[in-house]
Amino acid sequence: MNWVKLLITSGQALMQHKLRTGLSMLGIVFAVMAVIAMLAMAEGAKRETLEQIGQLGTQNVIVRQAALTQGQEAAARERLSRGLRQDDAALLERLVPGVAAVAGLKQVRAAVAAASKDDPLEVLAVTAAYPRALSLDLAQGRFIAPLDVLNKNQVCVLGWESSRLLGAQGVLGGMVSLEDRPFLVVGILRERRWVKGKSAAIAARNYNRAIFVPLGAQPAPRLGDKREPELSEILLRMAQAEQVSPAAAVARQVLMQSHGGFEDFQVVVPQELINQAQRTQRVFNVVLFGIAGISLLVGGIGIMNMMLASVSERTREIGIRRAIGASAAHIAAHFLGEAVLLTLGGGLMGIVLGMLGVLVINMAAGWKSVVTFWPVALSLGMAVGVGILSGLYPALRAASLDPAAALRHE
Amino acid sequence: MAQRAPLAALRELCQDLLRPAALPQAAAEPPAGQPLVLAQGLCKFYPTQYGQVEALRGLDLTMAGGEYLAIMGASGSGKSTLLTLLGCLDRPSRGSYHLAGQDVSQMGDRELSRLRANHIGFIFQTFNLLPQLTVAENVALPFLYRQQSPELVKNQVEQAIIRVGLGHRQDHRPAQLSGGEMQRVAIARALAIKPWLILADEPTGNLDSQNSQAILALFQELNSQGVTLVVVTHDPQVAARAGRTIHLLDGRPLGAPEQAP
Repeated sequence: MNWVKLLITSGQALMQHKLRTGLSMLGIVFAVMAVIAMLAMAEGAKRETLEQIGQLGTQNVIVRQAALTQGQEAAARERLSRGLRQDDAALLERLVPGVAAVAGLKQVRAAVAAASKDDPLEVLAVTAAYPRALSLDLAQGRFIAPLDVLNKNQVCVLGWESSRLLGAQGVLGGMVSLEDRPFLVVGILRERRWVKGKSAAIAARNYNRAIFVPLGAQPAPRLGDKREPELSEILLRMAQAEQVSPAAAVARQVLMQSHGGFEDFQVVVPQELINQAQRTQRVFNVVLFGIAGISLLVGGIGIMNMMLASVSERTREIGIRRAIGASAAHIAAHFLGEAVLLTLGGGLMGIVLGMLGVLVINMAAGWKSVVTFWPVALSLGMAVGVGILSGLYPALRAASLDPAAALRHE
Repeated sequence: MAQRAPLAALRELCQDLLRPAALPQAAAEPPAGQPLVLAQGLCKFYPTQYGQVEALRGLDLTMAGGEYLAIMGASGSGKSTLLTLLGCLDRPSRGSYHLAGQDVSQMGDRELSRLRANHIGFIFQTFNLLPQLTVAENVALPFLYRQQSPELVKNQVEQAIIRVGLGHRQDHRPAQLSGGEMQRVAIARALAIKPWLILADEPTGNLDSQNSQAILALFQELNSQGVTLVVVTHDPQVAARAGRTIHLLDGRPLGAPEQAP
């Protein structure tokens, strides 16, 4: 049996009724198109989320000072908790197993001379371990040294964009004025890729727009400002990625103890956020494929209907082919071939249209949807499967026709 | 219409495909030394909702290669059923049928189909060409179901078309042809595979007398070149051209087969 020739015959039969073929293909086309486009968007969103979370450092555990209401603040004072402090950082470094570096950070509200009011630069008071924990790269100079922190030296390190914005002051050896106090620029960071976070939990700082000063050297809070905890964030860099989750649990317990049992902090584990995002994504993908499966099923029913009509319409032709030597298997192959070609064509068209749709959406909405291999392969496979399923019954009906009776059919 | 359940068809199809069928290879000539057609006690019954219809009730027929046989009878006498059996489109309910020594009554669908594709040509009253195909494609259609090199196919198709006098019409479609021409295409389709046996069911039933005469003349010419022909008709003029005629009545031959002078 010459399969290629049989397939060509099936294709010719389809081409005879172009409109009918096209219409019955549409269901498959739209189903596959929707799968490709939706999965591409979902994949793009997932990658973006993962990249944002990844910016926080997958080997890090981040402890943040929680924003407290007045009532909570009173409760915290009652338990003798003074928020995150450098003592906490020291305690964590000693007690959390597998910790490679611990860094403290304090967000400072300070007026930066020569920076615009609406687009302020961020002043961060940090310990010397900070750049290592976040793998910040220097373009020029040095970072803040342990001695700078100890001596509260009036030095600063500028992010790439801050350096540019500060102009003549923002160069190595220049003086940047914070709250009217001069800080010597000792280092400038290399530009770092930054993706704007979607929610506070996964938001990463834009280090390009930061000004780092030694912790303790920052200008004191102005009179009348609310009293603030010593640190706004403690960063734990773990030696190995697997230690992240247990370390987070230990860190929480340690801090609960030192804060008198009052949870005025928040422990964020970027790796766990990533896992969670991936789980959510998986559920989403399953739902998507479920919907796609239903649309493919509907498309398949349409094709089966069309094929059944085609079988009874071409009963005479079946009789003729049987008379001149076609076996029942040949006839079945003709019709099965038609159904599979139909869905395969629909699937391919759907993939092309889906990819085009993704391109258009990316351009129009500025999204970063990505078409990956698996949705394409899977939807094509599903389309062919639908073709086989929907073509099988009509093909068997055609094959089971009695040749002599089919020849007499008007 | 007779319709088996598709599931039963699937089972049958699978069994047929899995069975190591003794598929005869296409031989140009039937094996010598035995009659081409040997039918004994041929019976065909069709079950209907009103009971069993006995279309053929015990028919013996022997034909040698190169014969020209006419089958006559009123409608319902079993002519077409006999043709279906002789053409291996169906198996007899009872009795035996040997085509060139091969027992057709024991064959499965695949072997029957192989026999039809290689050795049997059909010609019908309504021509039964596929309207979407050209003359050449229609004539080449039987080769879709057998193995043969493309050059040989092209050659045989062309020869057959020229033999029926339609060499100039190769790329036309059936709708562009007259009835007589369409029947010639059907004859070419039957001839192209170089069959052992050509079976014609009322070949002139849809033609005017002029075209009928031309077709009958063509039949006689083919027969004189050694083609074995069976023609079913109720036109005595058509039967008169044949070398031998059998009359059917209610599924049985009427009296002894008449011998032509």
